[in-house]
Amino acid sequence: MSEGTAPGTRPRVAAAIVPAFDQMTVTVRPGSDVVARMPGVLLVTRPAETEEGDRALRVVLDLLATSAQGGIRAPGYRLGRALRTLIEHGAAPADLALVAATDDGLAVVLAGAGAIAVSERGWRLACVSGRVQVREIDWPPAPLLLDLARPAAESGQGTPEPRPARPFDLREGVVPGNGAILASPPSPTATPELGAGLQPSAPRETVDMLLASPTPPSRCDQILGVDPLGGPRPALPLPVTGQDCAESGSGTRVRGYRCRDAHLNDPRALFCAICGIRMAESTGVFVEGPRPPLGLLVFDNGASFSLDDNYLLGREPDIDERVRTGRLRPLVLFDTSGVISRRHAEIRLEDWDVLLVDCGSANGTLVAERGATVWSALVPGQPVRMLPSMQVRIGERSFVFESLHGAP
Amino acid sequence: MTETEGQLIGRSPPTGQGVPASVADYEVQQVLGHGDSGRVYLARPPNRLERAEQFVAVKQFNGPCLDSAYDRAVEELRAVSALRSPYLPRVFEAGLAGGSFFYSMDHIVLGSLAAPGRRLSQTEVLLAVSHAASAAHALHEAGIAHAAIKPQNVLIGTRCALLSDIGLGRYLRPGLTLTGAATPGAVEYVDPSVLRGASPSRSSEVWALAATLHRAVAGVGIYGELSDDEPLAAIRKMMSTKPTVAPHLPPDIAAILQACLDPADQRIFTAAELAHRLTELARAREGISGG
Repeated sequence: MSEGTAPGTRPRVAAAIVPAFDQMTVTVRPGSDVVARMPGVLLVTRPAETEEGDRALRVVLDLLATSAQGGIRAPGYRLGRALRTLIEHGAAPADLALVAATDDGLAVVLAGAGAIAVSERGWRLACVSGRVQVREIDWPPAPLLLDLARPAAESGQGTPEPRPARPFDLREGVVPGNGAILASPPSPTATPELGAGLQPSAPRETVDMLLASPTPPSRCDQILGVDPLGGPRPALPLPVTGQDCAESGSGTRVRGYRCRDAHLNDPRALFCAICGIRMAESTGVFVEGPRPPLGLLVFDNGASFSLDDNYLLGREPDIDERVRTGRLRPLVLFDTSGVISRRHAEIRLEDWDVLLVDCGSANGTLVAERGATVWSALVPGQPVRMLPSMQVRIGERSFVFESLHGAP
Repeated sequence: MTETEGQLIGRSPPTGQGVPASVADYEVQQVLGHGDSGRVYLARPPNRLERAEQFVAVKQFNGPCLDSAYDRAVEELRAVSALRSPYLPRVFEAGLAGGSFFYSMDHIVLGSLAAPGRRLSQTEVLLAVSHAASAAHALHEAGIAHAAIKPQNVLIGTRCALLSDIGLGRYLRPGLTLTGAATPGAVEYVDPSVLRGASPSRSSEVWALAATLHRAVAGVGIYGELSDDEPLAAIRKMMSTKPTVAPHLPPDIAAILQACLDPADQRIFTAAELAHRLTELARAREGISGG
């Protein structure tokens, strides 16, 4: 078993200490399987000795070549998923081991007999019950072997290991070989470490071991057999005949007109937001009641948030005192471009209006009215009333205000 | 949606598109599915849990979890667990791993109504939804709305179906009405009244059970096929059109479905009543007398 921190644990690694994949050396062990190296990717596979096998090999090599041509620095994320789909559909060789660069480590795909090992540390990862494995791991601390388990008849023969001292290095191409070793290039003064310590007969009993040193949860609580603190709650109310939709809201009270079916509406609305009937048929009496939700924020990925409260949007809205004290709801925006501020924008409900305020964000908040193709930036600190179907863009993220109370 | 955008507004899954080797000290074996705003893994439980089960399911939510949200989610899971319903999977523990909320529960091996391990007969589907309705009723009687009833969450056990994955998104991410593209097609199981901002209720859950049953027996949704790529269009379609029961369904099933999709005040009132009607229907089909 492994000792210390294994590469499966995923603390964020500073980019500076992540070795560039294409600067690593690849030593090929002699043999009849196939080893391929392309920018950002290393593959060992054993296609079937049939035309179908040849076709499957070409499919995978084409996939690798396409990702290499794309010039993607970290092809591992996409390759892993694409390859899994190919294997599961029988379009790629059933036995393979692949590693590909990610931003801060390696994506690993293993199928059939495919395995990777860091023999120096006694780590080995292979397929569990033949299932395709797609993992992300940190950079291994020592040379990483990719190989395919040999059929029993061949297992005793062993494979001659290239002499570590010799500067073998497959930079790019497709060659025959029984496995490949990915290792740091030797420094001019240090003893070469290529393949150091790697044995082809890496202990098979460690197969199925995960490249991980699991850490206990930072906080955990038993659920089964522990009663809730709050004690029994009243049952959910039964539906009431004649009441189509229970009102719900934040508890803020507003004044408006009730439609014929008693739904409270924005006095400017022409139609009831709940049942759609013309407000001309309303009671005509200006009344006060709990404010219903004013609509939805529908994000580009479909996540939707009910506008029944005020929100603070940003990368880390929790830093705001108003979020910590519950006056604003946090809405965390994930963004890989780094242009979203920790506190970026605020959604504020005032009477029947939804207001959008840029909180002085570094890169601004853009809005476009319904159907408009031109985006305009908000003036920081100056609230803008959101109109139905208004689009908002914050960094890479965008959302639409879907109004239920279509005030003109 | 591109991969870099993450599955929720929160942030990307813990390790991008790959499978993490572990969630806390649970050793991950494989991904079982994309659940409500997170992922569900098959995992080996740690020794400290002292469980006899070889494998459990671990649900991990995307994004960071505030202390207050954590406490509410734990309280909710304990309230569900205290019901000891045979139609709800057991939840063992909840915790924080890498700042994200997770919990471990029974691993139900035969898949879900969305992806059953084998082809289910129409009668089996009726019984599965009946069991899910019984689970929902038990929750409702305890003052809890499930808020995430859909085929993916109706698990097929060896003895009965189980309703899993209670919607914790509303505690972990207040205001969240609909999760994102992590759960393709999830919008069709949300009662439009909930989209309009009403809290999940008995009647919205009866509606969701019917939408679930319809998808499972008819193979299409009650709004046809809504586009996952255009969530806004899907929401607008649901807000502006009435759900339709597929014309090719047997009249007895269609009648029950319609009674669940009617306006809330004319709907089947409780999930228990729906469970009873579905069980009776299943019995009638198998030629078993009621009782």
